[in-house]
Amino acid sequence: MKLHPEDPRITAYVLGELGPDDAAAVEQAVAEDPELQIELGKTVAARQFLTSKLTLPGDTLLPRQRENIRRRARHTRGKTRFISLVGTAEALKPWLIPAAAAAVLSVATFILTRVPENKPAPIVTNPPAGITAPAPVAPARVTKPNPPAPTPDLPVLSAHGSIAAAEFPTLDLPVFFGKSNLASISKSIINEQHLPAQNTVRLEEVLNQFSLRLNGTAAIARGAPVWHPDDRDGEVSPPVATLTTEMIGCPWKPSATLLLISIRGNDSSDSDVKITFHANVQNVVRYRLLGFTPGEGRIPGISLTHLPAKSITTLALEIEPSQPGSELGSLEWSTANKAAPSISLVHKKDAEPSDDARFAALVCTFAQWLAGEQAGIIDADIVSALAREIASTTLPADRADFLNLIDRSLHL
Amino acid sequence: MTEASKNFPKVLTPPSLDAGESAGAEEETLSPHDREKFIEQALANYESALIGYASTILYDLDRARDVVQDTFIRLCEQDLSKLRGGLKPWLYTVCRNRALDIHRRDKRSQPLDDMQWKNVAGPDLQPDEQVDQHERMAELMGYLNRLTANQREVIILKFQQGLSYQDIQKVTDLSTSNIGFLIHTGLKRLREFLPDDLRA
Repeated sequence: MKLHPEDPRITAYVLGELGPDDAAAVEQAVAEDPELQIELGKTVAARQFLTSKLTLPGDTLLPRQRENIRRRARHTRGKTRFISLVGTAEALKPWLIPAAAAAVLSVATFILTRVPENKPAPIVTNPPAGITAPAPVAPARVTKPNPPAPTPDLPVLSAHGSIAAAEFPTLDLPVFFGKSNLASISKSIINEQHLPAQNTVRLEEVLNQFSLRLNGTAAIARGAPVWHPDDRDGEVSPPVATLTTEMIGCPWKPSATLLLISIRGNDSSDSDVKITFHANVQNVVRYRLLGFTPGEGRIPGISLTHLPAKSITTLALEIEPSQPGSELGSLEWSTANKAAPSISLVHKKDAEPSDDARFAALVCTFAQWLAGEQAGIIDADIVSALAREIASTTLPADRADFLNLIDRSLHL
Repeated sequence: MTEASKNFPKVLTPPSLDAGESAGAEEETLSPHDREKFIEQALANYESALIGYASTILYDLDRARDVVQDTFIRLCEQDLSKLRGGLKPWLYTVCRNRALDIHRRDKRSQPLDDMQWKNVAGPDLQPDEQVDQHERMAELMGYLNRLTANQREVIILKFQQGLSYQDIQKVTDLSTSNIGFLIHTGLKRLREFLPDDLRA
């Protein structure tokens, strides 16, 4: 073998990366060529230098970080007993099998007896109104293998990218929209045995199929005081609306924070509620309202301000902070044009997320996966891992059904 | 099933497992206790090395710790039987992707002087020895920063982290021939501008 001093095989030989035959050939070539011997010597010296200088002493995790990991290991250990996902051969507890069958039957019955309330709007040329920040440039979409063809009579959806906080620090949030999308998704997966077309998935509707109670900061907007004969102490101010938030780590992007917002309406009357997210531009790089992918037109049923009586709406924003544990901004809101107490958004990383928040995160992850969003980040592994965390014998029926739906979809 | 995400190692034909890194034949046969032991062992074996690696991307020890925490939390959520391709490249791949994700979003790139190399010299050295090692490390990283990003990364993975060409391929998605070429040319370049007392 004739080697040139520039040949990378000399370095590979010094680093022990050559097979025995190639190494022997290099040795022989070097033995016959003084120039190669010089080059070899320089490479050996460089290796010794870098190996000795680049060795870092052992920095370790903080005790709380190590405890977080151990807690997750114990948590995952406990949860894997109950529901088997992604084709693992775990045997279900005997009572889970009839429960699962009952869940499937109830979903099928639900689908067959209900008609979807919202028909998708035909394509119109006017841009969508309401959301103040302009739609960002859609990221490239990666299709799943053999995806079903987009349903032709639905508007083409454009995936929401993130909004740069420095350019658009505020975003008006919708307060009410439909809930029927989960039924059509279930029909595709359970009845028709295929994943729904990506442009038919409405994350915001799926999320709002579930009644969620968040465990973070809350604020109540009260109406004008009214006199009541039974109230001896003074006037009664009925709550017009209640705003509750909770922030957890974003499961598909650990560097981001998932802000969950719950808006609960008055028990007896409709309300006019305006909510605006104000990003702290010092601490927030980008944010993204999950769902609400407008097509070339309007999506019917979305209201920015009209909150029906007894309604509960849940929203999710993915926020990318520039530094951890910082104040991310605030929610400013008003009812009937009267300012309500604002909510400051400070993510405490050590705070244990509530079960409802973790379930909401799973819903968001699954819906984005179905919609083909975050295709380079969210995959079946993440969905199934999150679902395993949620799985429990004490789940309400609707959430158990949802986990069953996820399980079915992962096998399609 | 969907194809594997770019953020996670592609499922390759598994090489022979490193000793002690087998998670058991199948996930189902790994008892909960053994699973926790496996995670604990992985922490002991790779915690410091991964922090060091993440630090070379993020120039921030605290952020590097967060990234490594996230990496091990991901490990807890994994089907350990899928790590037959090797725990080590999996950990480095996930750690790298997390660190790059943060680095890309964080437009600030800290100059070397601001690097928070806390405890860089370890607890056993005297303060003046710590300062000396800090300065030498900062000087070396300065030279490495004059290489291309790919050259710098593969040299760090090879000489600091001790990964083989094959493991580096799994982590970076570069071909082994490309890796060999990058290391070779990176070393030559380093030799050109390293001070005389450091040159061969």
